[in-house]
Amino acid sequence: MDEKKIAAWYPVLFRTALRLTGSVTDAADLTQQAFCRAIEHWDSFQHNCSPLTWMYRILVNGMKDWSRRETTRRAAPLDEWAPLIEDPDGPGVPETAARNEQLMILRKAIGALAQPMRQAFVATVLDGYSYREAAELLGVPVGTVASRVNAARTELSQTMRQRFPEA
Amino acid sequence: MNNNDPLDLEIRLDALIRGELAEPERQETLDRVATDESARRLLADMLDCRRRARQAFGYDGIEGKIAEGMSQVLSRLPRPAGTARPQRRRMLGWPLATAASLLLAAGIGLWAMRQNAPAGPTIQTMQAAGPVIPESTPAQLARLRGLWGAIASGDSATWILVRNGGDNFGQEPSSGAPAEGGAVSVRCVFAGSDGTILDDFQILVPASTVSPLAVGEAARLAGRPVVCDVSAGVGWVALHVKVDDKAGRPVGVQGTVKTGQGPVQIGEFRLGEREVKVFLQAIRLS
Repeated sequence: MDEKKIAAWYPVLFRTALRLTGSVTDAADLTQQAFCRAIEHWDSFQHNCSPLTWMYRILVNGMKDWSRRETTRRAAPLDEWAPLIEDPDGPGVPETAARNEQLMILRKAIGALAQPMRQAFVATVLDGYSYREAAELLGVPVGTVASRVNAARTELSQTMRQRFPEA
Repeated sequence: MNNNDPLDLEIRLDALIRGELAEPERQETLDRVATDESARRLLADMLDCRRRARQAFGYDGIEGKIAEGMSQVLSRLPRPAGTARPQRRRMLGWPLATAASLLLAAGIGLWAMRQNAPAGPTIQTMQAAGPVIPESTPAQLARLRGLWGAIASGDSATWILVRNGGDNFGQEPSSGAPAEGGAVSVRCVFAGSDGTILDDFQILVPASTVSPLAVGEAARLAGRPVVCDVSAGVGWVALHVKVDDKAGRPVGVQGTVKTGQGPVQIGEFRLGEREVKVFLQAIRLS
């Protein structure tokens, strides 16, 4: 493992952890733990999958331990932790409200996508895995990932145009 | 590339915006974007969708957390034998000269690998102990000219980030006046005090901008995004680059160079324990 790999993989795994835990602090802790384990066991990596997939599995295993410990808390769904945008130097209150409404509708529209489309969209567009990496994670050909992401984008675009025809 | 397969194009564009295409494919894909309106639309659609979706889930505000966590992980990396940090500046004489030569050679090698220039570029030495920055070849300039001609529209001020080693590629219209008088290639190189090139980027901008053009993530230093404002006038280019340090305070430099001048150091700043020198070069494309 070297600096270049860490720079490429850290943001992707952090976003995955954030999406799964709903907490920036927990996501940071879990991502760091995953990297520490990976650095420690790097020499034993078997190369039977891509290194990022291997890292993803380490992260998910860490997540399982974390959720067992989290007996009193449950990971909030994405929609609950996503902050509303409040930019004091940005648009005025009516514009901010309109923008927040658009973002909320977009979040719901992503959540309402059919599962195969949503998985491909979330892995690539939100978390930042490449199409090839997502194909390996989801166990489908890369063309299928591209097709699902393309279809998801089209559906989201149609939903947003119907709700906000003026935008 | 299969020009008739839209999914193949989507996969290529995904790799392009992630900076993962090797040079011949990257060039081919850029040419396709430059000449094919539907490819341009698809690229814009992919970038716009990603921006909005990440904004909708609050991912915009986590850059600092990512950089912070990443630097902690980097600090835990075992340091390979023979790369221990130099302890003191008292090491003078030939050992220092040898070390400097080795670092310089490593810097040249690294740069040469990253450039992958088609025909042997002219090497220009900046300063004795500084980094070596190859000049753009005529072939590279011709390609940039073609890219600008194909993408930049005549009714808005546009910038094109050609290369940044990250996943931020695109063009953005500004509210400025129409772009006139061709374009300028603005190259910025970040180097460590030992001459190692840390990152670099290249932006094509109109030869005369009405207001500074802002680029959200032109490069990355220590895992943090470098933002920049670039302006151009008759015979000059001004650049302001800044990056947040570990405490979230912006650090950076600003400077101006004459168009056509070789790479010039416009300043330096400290990012954590690292000294970062900033070099700027502007080349008229028309």
